[in-house]
Amino acid sequence: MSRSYLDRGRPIAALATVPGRSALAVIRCSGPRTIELCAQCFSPATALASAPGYSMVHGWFNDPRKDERIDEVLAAVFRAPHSFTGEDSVELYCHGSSAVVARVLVVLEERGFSPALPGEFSFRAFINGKTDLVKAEAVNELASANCEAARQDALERLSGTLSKAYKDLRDDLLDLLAELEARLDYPSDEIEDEELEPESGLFARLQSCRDRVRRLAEGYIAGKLRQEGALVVVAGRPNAGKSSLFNLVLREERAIVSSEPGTTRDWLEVWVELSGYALRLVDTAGLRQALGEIEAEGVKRSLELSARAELVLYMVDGRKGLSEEDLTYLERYPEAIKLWNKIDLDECPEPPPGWLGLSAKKGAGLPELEAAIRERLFAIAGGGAASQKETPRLANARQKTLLDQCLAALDSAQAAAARGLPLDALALDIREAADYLGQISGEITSDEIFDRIFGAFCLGK
Amino acid sequence: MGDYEAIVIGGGHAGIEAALALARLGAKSLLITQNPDNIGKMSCNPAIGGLAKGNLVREIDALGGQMGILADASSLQLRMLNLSRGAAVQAPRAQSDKALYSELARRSLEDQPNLSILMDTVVDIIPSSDGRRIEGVLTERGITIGAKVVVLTTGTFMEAKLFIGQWIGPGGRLGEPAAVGLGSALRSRGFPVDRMKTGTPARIAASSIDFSRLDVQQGETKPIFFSFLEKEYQRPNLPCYILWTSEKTHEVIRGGLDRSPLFSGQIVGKGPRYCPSIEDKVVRFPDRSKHQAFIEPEGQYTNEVYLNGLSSSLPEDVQLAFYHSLPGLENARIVRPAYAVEYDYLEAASLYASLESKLLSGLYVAGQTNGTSGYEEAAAQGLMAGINARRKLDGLEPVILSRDEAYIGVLIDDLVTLSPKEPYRMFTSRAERRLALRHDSADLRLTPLGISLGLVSEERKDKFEKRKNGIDEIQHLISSRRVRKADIDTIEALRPHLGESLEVALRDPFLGKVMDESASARDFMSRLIPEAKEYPESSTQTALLEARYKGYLEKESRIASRLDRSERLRIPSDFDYRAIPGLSKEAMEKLEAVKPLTLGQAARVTGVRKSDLALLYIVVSRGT
Repeated sequence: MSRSYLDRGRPIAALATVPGRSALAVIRCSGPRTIELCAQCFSPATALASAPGYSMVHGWFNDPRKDERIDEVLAAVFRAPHSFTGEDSVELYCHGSSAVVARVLVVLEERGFSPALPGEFSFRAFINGKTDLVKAEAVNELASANCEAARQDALERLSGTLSKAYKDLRDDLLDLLAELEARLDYPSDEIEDEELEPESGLFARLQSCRDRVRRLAEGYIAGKLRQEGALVVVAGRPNAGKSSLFNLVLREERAIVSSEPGTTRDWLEVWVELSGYALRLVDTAGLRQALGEIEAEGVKRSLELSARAELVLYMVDGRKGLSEEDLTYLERYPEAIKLWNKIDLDECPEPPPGWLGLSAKKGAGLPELEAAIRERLFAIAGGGAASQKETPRLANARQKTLLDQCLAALDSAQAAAARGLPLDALALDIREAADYLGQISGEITSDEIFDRIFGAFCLGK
Repeated sequence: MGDYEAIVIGGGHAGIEAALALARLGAKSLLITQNPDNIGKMSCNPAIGGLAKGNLVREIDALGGQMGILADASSLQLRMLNLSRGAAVQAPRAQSDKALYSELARRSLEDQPNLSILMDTVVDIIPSSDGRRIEGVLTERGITIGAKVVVLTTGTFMEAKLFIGQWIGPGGRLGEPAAVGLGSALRSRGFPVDRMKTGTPARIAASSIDFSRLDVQQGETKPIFFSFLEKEYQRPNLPCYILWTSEKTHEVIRGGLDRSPLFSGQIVGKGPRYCPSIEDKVVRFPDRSKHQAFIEPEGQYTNEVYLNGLSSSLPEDVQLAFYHSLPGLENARIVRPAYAVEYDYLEAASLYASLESKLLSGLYVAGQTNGTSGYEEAAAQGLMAGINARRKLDGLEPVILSRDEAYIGVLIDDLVTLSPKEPYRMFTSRAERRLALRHDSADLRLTPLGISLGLVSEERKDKFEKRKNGIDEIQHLISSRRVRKADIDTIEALRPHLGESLEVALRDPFLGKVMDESASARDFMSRLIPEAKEYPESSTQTALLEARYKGYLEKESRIASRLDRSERLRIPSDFDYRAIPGLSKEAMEKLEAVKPLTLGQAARVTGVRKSDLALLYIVVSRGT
C-alpha cells in the first residue's frame, strides 16, 4: 500500500456511485481544505467557498489548468464536524458518464486529492468518533442491500439499535463482573453482606445475558438471509418443466435485481424479489441433461447446491408420476416444496396430497407457489423489521464469530456456576465474554479490526 | 558527614525495603529518619496482608525482601481470607504486634552490613550543576550529604497536617512532627507535587470495653506463613471482635458534621474511596441502618485496641459520643483520637517504571509519596526502588516486573501510567492474570529473579529449590496416575473419573470441594498417593492448585496473550505524538506527559480514547 489510512492530512476523493453509465454520479471529497480545493475548480468559486454546511451550490466543474468546463454539477457542502467523516466534505453530483467521472477525478487529483482507499471514508468517520464499528459496517451493508428486508435491517443497524444492543449487553456483563469483583476484592469482613446481591440473583443475570447473546447470534441466520438473499434451488428430473418455471418467473416481470446467464456459471440463476426477500433462484436443469462423466459430476454439484439451499423446489412431470429417483431425492430433502407440474394437460392426474399443482407453461398455481415460498422464508427469516424490534438482526460474519465466542464464554460461565466452581474462575469467563463484545463495537482494539473491517468496504463509502 | 553511594530518606515500610536492598546488594548506604525509634511504625491498622496485599508481601519475600519475615515474627493472629471464593483470590492476613514489628524492623536495619542510620530531617535535594543528576541531600541542621542515588520515601510526612474536628496541627503521625521544607523545595524545583488525605480510627483502652457483648473472631490454627522461609515463631493467637453501628451512632455523627474538616472544606487532599471514614459512609449511604466495625489488638503488651472501620476526623467530643453509642463501648475511653492526615505526594507519572524520576537522574521515589496507601504497597515499591537504584550505580538496566508476573508489576505500572489522584490500593481485579498471581506461587514466579539479582540468602535458595523440586515431583506423581477403584472407596467424588488420568480428574470442582474440606492438601493427596506424605504442605498445596486451575490458567493466558501483542508493542521513548494527525488534544497531552513504553500502557492512561489508541496502534505497529 503506497499510502496509509493514517495519512489524514490529505484530502481524499472517490466515486461513490456504481461505475458505468447512469443518470447521475456522485463523487465524494473529504479532508482538510476540501471546500477550498473544490472551489478552485468550480464556478462560481466564491459561492462554493463561502457556502454554509448542509447547503447545495449549482455551477460548473472546470479544469482550472486548461480553463475548460467539464460538467454542470451540484455541490453539496458539509462543514466539520457535521459530515459523515467529521471533516470538511463536498459531494459533487455530476452526470453519470464514465468520461465525466474520470475527468473530474483527474482534476481533483491534480488539486491535491488522493484517491480514497477502500473504506477510508468510514475509517475517518470512526477515527473522528462519528461512528462505531457496528454502524460503520451497517453503512456497507446498507449500500449493498439488494432487497427491502436487507435495507430495513441495515438501516436499523445504522440507526444504532444493534450497537445499542451490544453496548447494553456489555454494560450488563461489566456490571455483573463488578458485583463479582467486589466479592473477590474485599474479604467478607470488609464488605457488608447487605451490600451484595445474593449469588442466585447474579446467576439469573448471567442467564439473561447469555440468552440475549444467543438470540442475537441466532438472528444472524435471518439477517444474513435478508442481507444476502435466500438460495432457492429448483430440482427435478429432466423435462419436469424446470426451465418453464424459470421463464414463467421471468415473464412475470418481477423486480429482477440481476441475472447471470449460464455462460458464466454452470447453472442458470436469477435474482427475484418476493414479498421483500431477495431470492436467488437456481435451475440445476442444465447439469442433469449433460451426458456421461460430466453428468455424474453435474448430479453431484446439484446435490451439493440443494444441501446449501434455504429452500428446494422439487418438480415432477405429473403425467409421469413419481420415480425411484424422485423418491430418493425427496428422502434426502424432506423439506422441499413439491411441485406437480403440467396440470394443464388432460393426461395429468390430480396432485397427490402434499404436492402443489402447477402449470409452469400457463402460470396456473403460481400464486400458491409464491405463498408457499413466502411462508417458508418467513419461518426462517422472520417478517418485516418492525416485527422483531426487540432483537435487531445482524448480517455480518465478523460480528457473528465474536458473538459465538462470547456465547461460548458465557456457556462456560454458566457451567462453572452450575458446578460450583469458585468465583475467580467464573469471573474470568465473564471478563472474556465482555471482551468479545467490546471487540464487536471497536471498544477493544484488536489487531484484526482495521485490516479486516475497513478492507472490506467499497470505495467511496 | 562523609558521603555514601546511596541515601534513603525515611524509615517507613518503603524505606526499610529500599535500604536493605541497597545494602544487601553492596551499596554503602545511609538511611535518614526523623526518629530511629519510629522505624517500621504501623501508622494505621495493626495488620499486614489481606487480599492482593498479602500477595504483595509474599512477592516481596520471594525476591528477598523483609516484610514477610517481620509479619510472621510479629503476628498476633493469622487468617486466610476468601477461602470460599477461589484460590486465586485468597490471601493471608496477620494481626500484628505494632511495637514488636517496629522493633524487629529497626533491628534488621541495624544488623545489616553496609547500612548506617542517621537521625535528621532532609529539607532539600541537591542536584548537579547541570541540574540533571542528584548529588546529595541537605538536612534540617544544614548538613550536606553526598550520594549518587537517593530514594525518597517520606510517607505521609511531607508538609503534613493533622485534622481532628476544628483542630489542625502540623504532624505526619499524631505526636510526630511533619517533615517541613522538603515538599516546598520539591515544588520550587518543578516537581509535580500535590496533596492527598488519609485517616485513621481511634485507639481505645481495652479495659474500658465490655467484650462479653461482642462477637469474637478467632484466628486460624492451621499454620499460615507470609515468608517462604516458613519459620515458626511460637506467636500468640489473639481474638478480634465484631460490632455494628446503629441509627443512634449515625445520628450522633450527623450532628457533628458541621465541625468535620472533611465536609467544611478544610481538607483539600483527596482521600481513599475504598477506605472511607465513618462520617463518609453515613453521608454516602443514608439508607443503611448499620455499619460493621472490628476491634483489633494493637499489641500483646498494650491496653490499646484499634477500631477498624471507624476512621474519622470528627471533633473528639463527637467521637466519644459515637463510640459510647456502640454496644460494649458505653464506657469506652479514648487513648488516641481518630484523625485525618493531609500530606504532599509526587505525581507518579513523573517516574519511570524503574521508579526513577524523569526529572532528575538518580532520584528514586517509593511508597506513599507516590500516592499509594498501605504498608504492603509501600514496601513493594521500596524494594524495587532499592534494587533499581543499586543497578543504576552499576550502570545496569533497571528491573521492571511485568503485569503478568507479579502484583508488584501491576502496582508500579498502574502508578506510572494512571498517576493516581487518590490513595491507590492494590486489588486483585487490577491484575489481568489474577489466577497466575496466586500468593502461594510468588516464589516460583520471583525467587529465581531474586537469586540472579543476588538478594536471596543461601538459606532461602536451598528452601526454594527443595520446594520447587517437591512441587515438580508431586505434579509428576499426579500426572502419571490414573483413578483406580480403590480411590473411589477413599474419595467418593472420584467415581465419575474412574480410569481417567488423575491430573484431569483434579479439575472437577466437586473434588475441589473435597480438597477444601480436607484437613490439609497433604492429607487429601496422601489418601490417593501415600508417597505424598513425604512432601511439605506448601509444595502439595501449590501442586494441587496448579492442577485444579490448569484449564482456567490456560484460558487466562490465552486472553492475556491476545492483549499481550498490543501490550508488548513498544512505543519509542522519543515518539512524537504531535505527528499523529487527529489524535485528540487531551490524549496528546496525557501521552506526552506519561510517555508510555508500550501500547498497553498507553491504553491505561486516563483520557486516551479508543480512537486515539487505534491511531497510535496503527502508527506504531506499521511504523508509518
